[in-house]
Amino acid sequence: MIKILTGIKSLIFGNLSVLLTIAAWEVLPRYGILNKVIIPPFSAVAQKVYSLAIQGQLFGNIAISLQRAGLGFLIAAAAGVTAGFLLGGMFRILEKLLLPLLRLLEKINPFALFPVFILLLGIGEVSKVSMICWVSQWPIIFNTILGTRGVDPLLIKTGRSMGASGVTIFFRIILPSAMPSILNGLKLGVQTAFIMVIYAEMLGASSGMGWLTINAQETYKMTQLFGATVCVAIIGLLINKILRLIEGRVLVWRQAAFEGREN
Amino acid sequence: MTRIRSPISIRVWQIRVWRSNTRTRQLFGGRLSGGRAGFVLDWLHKANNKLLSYYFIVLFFVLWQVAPVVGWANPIFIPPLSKVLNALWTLTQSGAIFVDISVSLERVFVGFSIAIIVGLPLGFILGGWLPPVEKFLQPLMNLCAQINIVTLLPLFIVLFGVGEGGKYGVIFWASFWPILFTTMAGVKQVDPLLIKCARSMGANGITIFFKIILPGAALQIFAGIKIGATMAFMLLIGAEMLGSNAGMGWLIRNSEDNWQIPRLYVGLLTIAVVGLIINYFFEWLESTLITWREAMPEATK
Repeated sequence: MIKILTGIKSLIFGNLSVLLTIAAWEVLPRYGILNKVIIPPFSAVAQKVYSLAIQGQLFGNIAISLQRAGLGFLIAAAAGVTAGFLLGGMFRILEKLLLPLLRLLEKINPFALFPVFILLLGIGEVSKVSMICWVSQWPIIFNTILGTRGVDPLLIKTGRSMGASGVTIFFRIILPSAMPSILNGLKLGVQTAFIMVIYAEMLGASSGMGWLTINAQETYKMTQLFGATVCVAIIGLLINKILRLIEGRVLVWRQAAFEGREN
Repeated sequence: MTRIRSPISIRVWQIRVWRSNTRTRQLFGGRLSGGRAGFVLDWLHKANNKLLSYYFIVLFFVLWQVAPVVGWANPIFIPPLSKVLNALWTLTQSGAIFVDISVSLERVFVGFSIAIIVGLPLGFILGGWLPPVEKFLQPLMNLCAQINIVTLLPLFIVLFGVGEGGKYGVIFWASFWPILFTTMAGVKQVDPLLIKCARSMGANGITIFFKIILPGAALQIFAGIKIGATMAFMLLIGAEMLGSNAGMGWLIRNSEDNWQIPRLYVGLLTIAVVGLIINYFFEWLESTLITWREAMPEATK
């Protein structure tokens, strides 16, 4: 019981600045210091989120957005990790040839590419998912190459001299030692995918969280705009949290190296 | 002043000299003994090594030209490169493209400058002087930095106006957090011994700041500024595509709406080139401003 209480206490005092900001958000519009029409108080936004949730609009749109982002990310992960292993480990000369072009393609502004994808693949789901896939594959590819290249050659030689087959070497040596880098790439990929899906839905869609936000802006529904933004922010935070948990769980043997890098 | 060498260090020094001599012989021996043919071959080999990274880029552009012409790709959706360059030439002659570029660059410049003007001092103050305040604000700052920037676009447009205000706001927000966080981290990792040292030698606060803290944190700050600039430029295009009446993002959106496909690709190319130039500019700035990075290992030898 005391443990729970101290937990709550540390939670409150640890996030005091956040709570104070929320309080200010509630109080300032209510007393007319900020314009209530443009910045509705926190309670009104919360109420709107609740009513959206009850109507089933909120969770449906969240599910659609996550589905698009997830599909794009999965394709990107499969393609990116495979390409990374091939380029970083097996065909070094190909990597030298191809990497500058890939770097160039990566640098192309992702938002500017949207119209091209829409042009080529139509305004349906395919263009959105492939856009998300295109943008989130770059960190995955580059980090996989980095991880594969960083494998200690001595370990591979040792494995080979002990008579390990190629498959064993891959699963026992290359994969574990490239894993931190790959996971880092996947993490960046998930975050990018989630950013991109929102933008894709803003540009042209009739469902999803991005659509909910832009639709609220266009029809000037301020509470809905704030509510949708807050929801997207919370989902993003949750995704980051889950990723950090997974990283900690999978990379037990690299715990020490990762402790300093929590952002 | 001559340094007194111990026997071991003399041995190490001799080995180093011997090694560098062998290195020189390896480098120049082959060419000198190989004669004229060997020289040409050598030169070709070297040129090949240097050009290796450009082959596929050239191939990419060649393919862009050839594929639509031959019919591997639909020339309506992917116009050949020559057509795109032609459209670029038209836009250059009328001067329209320069208007768009300058409008976009002005937006980035204003938003980014505000982010630097606010972010750098705030980072120094929070990281260096007021760690308790930083600890108090940490959760809030983490929260704000993690918010999906794209969802904020409509909100910023409503709050700061559909005109320039919303764009400045978005660019500021996108570049502010990396700058603030890296400045705080940079200030914190300045060696406290150096500060104490300077203080004991009688340096005042201003001297310490400019001679120790600023150079010590400069590398990290620059990393943050570079990230911030990249983010700012990226988000600018996103913001311009959502709603504006000039700028490179507008060029793309407008071309798409009016079905002027070559013009769309012109916008894409321009954004890529301007982005690369911004990138190189910051790298150049870093290497000119931070001259001690290369010099440091030499000095500590």
